Amino acid sequence: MTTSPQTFSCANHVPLPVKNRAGDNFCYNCIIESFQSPAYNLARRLLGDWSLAEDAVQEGFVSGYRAFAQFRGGNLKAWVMRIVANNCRDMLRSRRARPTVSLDPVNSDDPDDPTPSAVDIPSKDESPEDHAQRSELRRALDAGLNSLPQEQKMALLLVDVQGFSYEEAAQTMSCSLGTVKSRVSRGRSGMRDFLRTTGELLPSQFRQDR
Amino acid sequence: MLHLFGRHRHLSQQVLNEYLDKRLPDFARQRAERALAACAVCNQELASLAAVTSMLRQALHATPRRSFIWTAPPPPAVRASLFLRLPNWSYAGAASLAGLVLAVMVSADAMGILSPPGQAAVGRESFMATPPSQELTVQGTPSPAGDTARSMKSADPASGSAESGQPPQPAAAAPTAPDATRAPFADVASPPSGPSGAAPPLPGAELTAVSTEGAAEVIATYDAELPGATPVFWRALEGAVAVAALGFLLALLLRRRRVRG
Repeated sequence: MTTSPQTFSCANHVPLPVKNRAGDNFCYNCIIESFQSPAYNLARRLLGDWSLAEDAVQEGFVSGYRAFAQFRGGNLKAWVMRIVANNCRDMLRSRRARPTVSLDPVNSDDPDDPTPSAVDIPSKDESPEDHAQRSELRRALDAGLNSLPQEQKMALLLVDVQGFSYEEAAQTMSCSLGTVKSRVSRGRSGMRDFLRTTGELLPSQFRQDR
Repeated sequence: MLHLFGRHRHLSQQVLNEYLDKRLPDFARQRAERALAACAVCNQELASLAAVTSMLRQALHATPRRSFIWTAPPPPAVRASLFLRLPNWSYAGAASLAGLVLAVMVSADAMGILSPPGQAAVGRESFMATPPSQELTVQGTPSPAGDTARSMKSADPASGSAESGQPPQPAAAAPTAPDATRAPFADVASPPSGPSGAAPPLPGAELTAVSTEGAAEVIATYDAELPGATPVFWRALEGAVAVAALGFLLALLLRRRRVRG
């Protein structure tokens, strides 16, 4: 799937024209607007830290801007996501070499998974029970994803969380289609096995075997 | 029905996943549907995989806290210096290689391999370790130091002295003739033999009694005049390699500090 420049509109931002190797004109802010959410999601789950994820996405967009003249066309989404994924890999590698400990309070670093506290404003959309249940489920899924090998985790994040097609995931991960299929299959089986051993709040499929 | 005849084989995980993602071709999909209709185990497997997929899709969507849209393009990239662009392993490898070359050169020097062919490689250590009872004949221009070296002719009674023409004396007489042993060093440094009547030093200790200036002159003359000495070129090369090894190590440390900072 080729993302054409005509799909973008520059109504909400400053136009930032860029040109790829084939000579097609794009607005880079439109590219950012389109892909920032999936890029942040991927980085957030790969790195497990929202501030690091923001850094990875920002650096990925800057790298993409500087290297856009080398983009030969094709799937722009996969190209951008590959840059972000490579950034995340580099960050993980450097963090493994020099581990750091966050000074933030425990469990307060996740804006999409806030721990209930006295200062939290209660949501009108869901009850406290639902909120707690959703948080528990999210934590279990995060733990399950973190228990998988890195490649299977990325395949699951791309295909299941981001909704990428297998072809897009293969381009993003720079591997073959068959490799993506097997990684997705193994990743889902691993997640299912992990969830079967944990979690009382999980759906009935996971509690039948216990 | 398939179970009755024992011919049913459960669908593989990969087929189930592809069925879930609607990626199976028509004939494979129909076969999978027939198997799913007949087998509760396959059905349960499919349901659990579908639950995993839907949970991942619904629960793990995060919204970025801020927009990444720019108001101005980022500044052009500043190209790092070559010092920072080279990886750490290149510095470490260069330092290791230089250290290896230095070790080989020092070993070869110690074994005399670096000496010119056809000439005897006599090291300074062997010269210093030579007992004074052996005759060392030094060829070269006469100089006061050379005279000093030449004066280290032994009074070894077994070998005798060709210049003096004295006949060799029995070996047993050597320890009992301290005057003959000490005589050649008398012009270099004469140890004070006071009237206190101290015992004369042993023949092996005669060399240590020589003043340091005299010993330095002897060594310098030896280095300058003996044809088997190691050439200066190799010494300089060893020094250069040692400096290079230290330089690469220093560069590696500096680079690590710079990158970390």
